[in-house]
Amino acid sequence: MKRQFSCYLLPLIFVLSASTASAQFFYFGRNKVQYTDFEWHVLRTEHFDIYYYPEMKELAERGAFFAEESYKLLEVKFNHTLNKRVPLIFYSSHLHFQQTNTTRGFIPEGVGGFFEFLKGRVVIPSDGSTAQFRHVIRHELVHVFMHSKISRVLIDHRKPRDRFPPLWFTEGLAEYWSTEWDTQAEMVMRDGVLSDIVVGLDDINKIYGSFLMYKEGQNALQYIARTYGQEKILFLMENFWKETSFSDIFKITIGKNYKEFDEEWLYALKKQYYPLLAENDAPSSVTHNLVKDGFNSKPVVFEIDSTREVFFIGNRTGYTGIYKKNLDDSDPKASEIQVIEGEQSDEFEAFHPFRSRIDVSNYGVLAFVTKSGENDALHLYDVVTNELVQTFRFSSLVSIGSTSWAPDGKRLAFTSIDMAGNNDLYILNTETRELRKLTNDYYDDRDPAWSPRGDKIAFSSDRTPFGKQGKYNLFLYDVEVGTIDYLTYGNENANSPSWSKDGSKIAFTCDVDGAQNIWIIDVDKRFRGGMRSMTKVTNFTTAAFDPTWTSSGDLVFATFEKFSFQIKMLKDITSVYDTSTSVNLIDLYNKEKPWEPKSIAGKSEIKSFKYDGDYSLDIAQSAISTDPVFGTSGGAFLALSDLLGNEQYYFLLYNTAQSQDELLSSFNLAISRISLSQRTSYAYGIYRFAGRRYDLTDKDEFFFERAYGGYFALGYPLSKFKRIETSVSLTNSTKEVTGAIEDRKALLISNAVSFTHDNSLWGPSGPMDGSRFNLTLAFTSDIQYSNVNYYTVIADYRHYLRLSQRSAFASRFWIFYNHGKESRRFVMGGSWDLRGFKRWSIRGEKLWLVSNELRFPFIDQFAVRFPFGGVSLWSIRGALFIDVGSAWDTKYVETLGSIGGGVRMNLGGVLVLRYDIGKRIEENFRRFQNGIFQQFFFGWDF
Amino acid sequence: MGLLIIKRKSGLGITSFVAAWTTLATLNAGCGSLKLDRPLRVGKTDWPTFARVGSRINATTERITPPLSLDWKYDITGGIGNGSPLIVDSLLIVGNLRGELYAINAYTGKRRGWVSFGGAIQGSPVVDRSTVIVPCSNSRKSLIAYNLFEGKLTWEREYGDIEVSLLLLDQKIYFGNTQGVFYCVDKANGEMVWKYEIQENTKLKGIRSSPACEGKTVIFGAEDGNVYALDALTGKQRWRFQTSASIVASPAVMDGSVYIGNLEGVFYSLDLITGQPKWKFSAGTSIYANPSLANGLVIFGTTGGTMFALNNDDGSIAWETNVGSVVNSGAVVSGDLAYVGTLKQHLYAIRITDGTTVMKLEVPGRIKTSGVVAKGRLFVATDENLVLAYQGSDL
Repeated sequence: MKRQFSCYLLPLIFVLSASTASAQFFYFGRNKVQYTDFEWHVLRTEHFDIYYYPEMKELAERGAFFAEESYKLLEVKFNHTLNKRVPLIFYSSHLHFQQTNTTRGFIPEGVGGFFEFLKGRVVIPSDGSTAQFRHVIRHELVHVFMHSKISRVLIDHRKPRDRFPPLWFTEGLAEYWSTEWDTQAEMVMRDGVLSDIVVGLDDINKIYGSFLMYKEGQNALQYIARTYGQEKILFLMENFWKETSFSDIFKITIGKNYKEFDEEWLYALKKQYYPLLAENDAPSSVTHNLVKDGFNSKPVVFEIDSTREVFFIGNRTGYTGIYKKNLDDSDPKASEIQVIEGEQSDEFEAFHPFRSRIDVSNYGVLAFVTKSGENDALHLYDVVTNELVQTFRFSSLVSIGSTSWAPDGKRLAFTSIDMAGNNDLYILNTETRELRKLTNDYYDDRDPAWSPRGDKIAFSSDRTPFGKQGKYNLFLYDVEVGTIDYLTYGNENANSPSWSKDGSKIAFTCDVDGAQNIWIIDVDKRFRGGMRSMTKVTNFTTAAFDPTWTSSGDLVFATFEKFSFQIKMLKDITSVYDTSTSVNLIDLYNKEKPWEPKSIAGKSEIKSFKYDGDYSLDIAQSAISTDPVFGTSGGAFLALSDLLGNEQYYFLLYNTAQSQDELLSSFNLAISRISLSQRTSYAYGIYRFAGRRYDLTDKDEFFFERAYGGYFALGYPLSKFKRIETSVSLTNSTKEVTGAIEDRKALLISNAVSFTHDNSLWGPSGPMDGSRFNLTLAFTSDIQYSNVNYYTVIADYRHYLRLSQRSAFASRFWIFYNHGKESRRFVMGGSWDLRGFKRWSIRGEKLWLVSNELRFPFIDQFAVRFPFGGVSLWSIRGALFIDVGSAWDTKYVETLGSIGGGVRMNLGGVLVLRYDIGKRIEENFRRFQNGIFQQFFFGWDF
Repeated sequence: MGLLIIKRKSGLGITSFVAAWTTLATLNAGCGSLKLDRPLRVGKTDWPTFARVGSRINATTERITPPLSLDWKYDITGGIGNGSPLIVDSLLIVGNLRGELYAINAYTGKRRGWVSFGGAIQGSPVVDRSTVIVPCSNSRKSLIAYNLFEGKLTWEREYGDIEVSLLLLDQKIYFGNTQGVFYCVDKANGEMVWKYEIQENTKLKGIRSSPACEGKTVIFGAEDGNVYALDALTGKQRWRFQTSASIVASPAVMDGSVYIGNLEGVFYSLDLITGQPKWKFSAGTSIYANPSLANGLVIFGTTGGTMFALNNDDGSIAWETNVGSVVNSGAVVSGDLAYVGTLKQHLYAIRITDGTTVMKLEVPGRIKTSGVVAKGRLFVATDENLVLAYQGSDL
């Protein structure tokens, strides 16, 4: 929920730089591509304005019902009402959600929605599950209510509204008041306590922002409600005005400070969870470990000849991909082989490691899903020949889930979310490309598994009476007849079915007894009355996911332990099944009707209309600044945007007059508009600038310049990683140079086109993997007085070779070239480029630079503890570098260089402090300087 | 306060020191100015205490009949807690959450004066003759007696954070604090007469329920879910009744019965002498509001937005009316109408005989406190820092 300022200044900086000189500092970055042309409508309910597009109208109406239902509930819980209507912006899939302009940043896979408090917007995607949609709506509305309540408390007591409760409280409460304590929460807390990674509130910043922190917050609040009374949670908010520190507010409300509370709460957790070890085991202590490092999920086994390999989705380096490992490799340290490198190319833009199972056919073709452009794509990869065979894209299907091969190796079953937000089951014939839709409703169908016998597809779905609580049961789809029958039935979650190789049994995960373990159903066995039985084969303290069989009856699956997802194996599961005494009967006779979610359509107070823009002020800021050289200036800045963040307007007005008679001539004004609603974004504006300047790129002149004009810029993203940009500006400039006889007048037209590529992956102090490249061509000309006429070429290539998890070798190559009349100089020197030389001391119309740097972890933690408190510094990184380059106007003078090392420290993710020490290489690389240089500055690594 | 250098050689230095400290002390004691030109005369229909009288019945025979018209409004520059304004003589006296006490002419809406005590004034003060005793929270001193006629502090004492409305009975002030201690103090000097502490209070169960009284018994609810009845003279516990959940609402007492609701939405009628339940009623959602007693009915609202009227002898429903949003405050009964406000910025008038909604008026701000009917007006406070005075069609 952060406001992001950088983009507000970009158009102005662009405008200010009539040349491209300043572009050397910032032109990289990935692209948020507006693939989809959303036609926004607004559904108005009693308390909400709901923004949706027509394809998802039914989903929006269900969401409207959930929103009003949540409002009534939260009004009571918070003992508070909202006095403004709340804008809710719905998306029918996560892929659409990732295109939103309501936040500048990219939205990771795991983000389920957010509340943006500047405009009070709530933005929520659906993932196909109605119950989850309802949960997320309520979760975000808890944030809305909390924000309103806390603001009210501070306003009532006339306290500054510059603070908010800590994240563990805000997210913990959002979870506590929006959902029950479910299996996933239980899994995380069990693991945290039994693995000794749980921390108390006093140390909760150590896990700041993590999912464990969310669940600890939820658990702590649950504990407070149970032990101290539900009303204490409300009092924590109502006492918020009394102290500035939340820990002090905690003390006066609960009667204990964090430390005292932690003693009691953590002890209660131990009492609750330690006894589990009597009857259950941590996965690592009873299974064969296959893959441990990094993040690993969705395993599938492929056997050919006598080789057994497990394929899985993994992430070790920051990029998710598909890996494989030999199941029978006796060396536990044998590493995995990467099969598909993801998240660095347009084709495999992103994986869905929590959502999309992979599968390998009997003929060795791996089917997997990635985001590729606007929608997901289904890829087929031959694991024997190591070739990508085919890619399928479907214009009507947005997001694809798990895949499963038919035994014939020609047909694929998969689930997919369409534009309406419904997640249904499909069959694709990979030879004829025929797509057949098997289910067509609002129930959420997942995890298809095609029987080896070819006649049935098992899948998980919420089409049960328990779906309202977000529960899933297993079903069997008859491929020939098209009927759906229950396989399990109960108020529990049954997911990820997997058939044994002979088609007689299905292994699946189920949380019927409080933890997600693996159960097996003998499909061929039915009891009297049509009952089935399910047998538990694992007794993990935490959870198992996505079981998959081998032909010899072993089971391979993912587990959650020590807050990581690992791949494990249990051998000869059939004997475990035969001897297990944990057997549940499934009564399939007394079934009730599946749930039907309510919606809010058809009520008289509902109004739906097309959205045509709803603007409000984002920033209104005034400032006065003073400078010993240039004097004082003062002004104001306004930024407006519409509710969806697609259209932005900026207004800048300031004055640099140093005396009254300069007042009129020293007004500065800039007005810009930026449009992000389409794939091609554009910006245009007009400006008038006047004031004293010192341009170090222009022969160290002091001058007074008046300039007015306009600009137009276009940007077209080719993909998330590549884009083309072009711009044109026209500026009338008059420069009164100090000491010159005549003013320099010019009517400058500047054209530029650039291509940018960026798939870099960032570490704590800068990029660690991938590469970045920019090529810019520009031409600037004075079309009236012919005083200026030059062209520009900028080429900037940076490559990051990953050496290990936390180290990389980074290279940078620059060529900056200006040539022509009054062509501007580029600048170099300082901590950001040619180190060892004074900042911007090297100037020339032509410039080149090569940098090589080894980046590595230096100090992981540095802590000092005083009696009254302590200071900890984390993740201090080291670097060894060599920089070589030069700059000149007409004649090449000498090659300069430097060599040295340095340390970098990231402060709060916002700023990186850097310190370098080394030697300059002088006299055309003939000698090192006498002594050493030291440079201390801020800034990210190149 | 800063460092003052006293010049020993010069008497001027000492004088400056004294003057500075006097100024600072005065400032600390309370900013603003509130001094009346004559002593107050408390009238029969005045509201010198929360809910008008110590039994907290929140009803008056004075009638205000819709349609209502706004007579005046006044911005008291700070939020309003759960204590309602007081009407004494020609003044409306109200405290805000910035710790400021205002005296406003009830007829004209013009400010007579104000004084700041720091902290927050959450509950209603109590007025006795010309002295107003003010409860404060998170301030230097939490119980303050201020003489409105003399325009100065009479005394001030520290009794922990007080977030309830005060009870005045036989020259004693009764109140509980957020640490779970209930006090009886002498009105003349603020000194403690006795105190009662919630037993084994390891969970910091406080007292946010304003006390009521009948005879020599003082009754209040507490966060531990108990209703306490104490002997007003000695502080000895007469009885204690455990309800099903925390209590923040204030009780009302009439004819030997105590009426009170809790946060689980259960409303009780208890015998005043024995504490035994006479009946109980499940309202469904939390009860923050104090009940009003009139015409054999007990009337209260819930956070679920329902106004209930129960027959006070057996707890059966006389009527229930939905008012659309959270009700945090008691209804003020004026004649045969009950005026109640909601958090959705509406003021309702409900006929107490049958529950019919006679008026629904939009007001600027959420209503969290009970209104007051006096001086031919209905006075309502909202969270937009406003005190509103409405006149009815009776005038």
